[in-house]
Amino acid sequence: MNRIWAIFAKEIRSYFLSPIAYIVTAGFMVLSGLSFYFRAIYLNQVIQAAYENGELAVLKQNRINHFLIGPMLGDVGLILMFLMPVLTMRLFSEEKRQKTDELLLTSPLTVNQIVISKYLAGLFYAILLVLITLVYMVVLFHYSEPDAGMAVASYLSLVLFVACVVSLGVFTSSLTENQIVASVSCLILELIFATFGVASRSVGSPTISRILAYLSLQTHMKSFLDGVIMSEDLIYFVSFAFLFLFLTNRSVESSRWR
Amino acid sequence: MIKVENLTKYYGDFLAVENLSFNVPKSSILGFLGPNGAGKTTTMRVLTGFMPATSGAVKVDGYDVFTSPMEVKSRIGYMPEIPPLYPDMRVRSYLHFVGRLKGLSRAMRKEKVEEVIEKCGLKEKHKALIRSLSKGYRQRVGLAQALVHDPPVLVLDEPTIGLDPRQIIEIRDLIRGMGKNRTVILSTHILPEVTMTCDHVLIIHKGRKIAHDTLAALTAKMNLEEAFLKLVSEAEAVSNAQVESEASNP
Repeated sequence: MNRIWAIFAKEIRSYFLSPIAYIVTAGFMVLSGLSFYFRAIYLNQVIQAAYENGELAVLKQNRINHFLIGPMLGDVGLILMFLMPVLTMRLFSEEKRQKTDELLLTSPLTVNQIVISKYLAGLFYAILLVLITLVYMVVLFHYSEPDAGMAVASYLSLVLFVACVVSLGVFTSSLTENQIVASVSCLILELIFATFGVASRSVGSPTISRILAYLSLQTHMKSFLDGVIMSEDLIYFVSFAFLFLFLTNRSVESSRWR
Repeated sequence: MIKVENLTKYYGDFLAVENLSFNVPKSSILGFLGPNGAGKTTTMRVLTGFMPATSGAVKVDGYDVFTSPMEVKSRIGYMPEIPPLYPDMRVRSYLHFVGRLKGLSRAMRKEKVEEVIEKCGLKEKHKALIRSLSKGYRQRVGLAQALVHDPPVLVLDEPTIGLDPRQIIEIRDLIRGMGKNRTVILSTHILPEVTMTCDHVLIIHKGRKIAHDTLAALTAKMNLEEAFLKLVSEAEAVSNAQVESEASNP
């Protein structure tokens, strides 16, 4: 366990030493701020329209969840989908390029310990970014009364989503010593999983359509963002992350056998 | 202490090490020689558990590298050809990191890190960023890294490469000092280094063992340089003859 923390701490430290993490964090703050701002304006318009049409029933509290928190965290997921590969790309590639993998693999550590510590470091940074958006929640909860349970479900969904994105990033990073190749291939894999959702809506056969919808990461976020936690979705996210961590383990092991 | 039995390693179709067997007794220094591409680095990588062998076995202190890698890895200090350094780390925190990886407790780490900083002449540079170090200092950090957990077995892959003559002498003395209570395998191209530090010599060529003897026996009739050249050219002639006979009887 101590050894896992040793690598974890090293990764976190190198995040804070590299300019890339700061650029990503700054970009993330700007983008999530824009999303909050425009979603809030849109919510305002919805409420105004409801007033003018006299639909007072629409003005119940969880409008904030449906029109602001849910969609905004959906945007945050999208932003992280594009930004996280930049943070995960170095986790294994850098070790390979610097030949420091030779130190890790000749130390009394299992490959699983190495993979887990790298994964946790990536996930830690991703969660740190997600936590920044809590600032907006503070504002919302101060000036209004959104549904706290729904907001928690939305956050849980976002964390599970980034847990999957980071596992993909760790996996592609273990495949190559070139960081650009690692991040681009992670992005491509993410986009493939995203297109499954679009494809499921346009495929004629209902069976194939359901399979594609099940494979898509976005499908599983939907009910969460609406405040409903479904065990089916939980199982999907967890097995997704496990699958790619397992593949990472295989990829690190196989590089030793070549 | 180290027992290598019929070690064979293929990279795809390429045969890097063929049926290599040797023993290294406790508290001795083995000079590991061979022309470039002879399979020295490969042998060391198998020995340290970095990569598995295609066939054959390696035992360190009675533990098999393949079946009990943790036991073996905690007993070996390994300095690869390119020292595994993180450029953004400072020397001292890097050594602490390695100590943690090797499983040293906090108190032990404190003591051992100071000890290797002292031993490897890093006292003035212990706060420096590794990226700012010269080649010679990097080499020393690489050696310190291999020593930090006080391993009974040391595997050093060309430790004096790129050093100036004064540094070579320092490192050489250090290695000789370590051989008193440790088992050391030292690969090198510099033959006088072997003469000065090692008690046993192993020479390989194209993955095969061509000589394994004590230094005294090898250098009884001629000096090590002549012996090395003679053995390598004989091995070359044998392998050329083999290729020719294979070509003539397809």
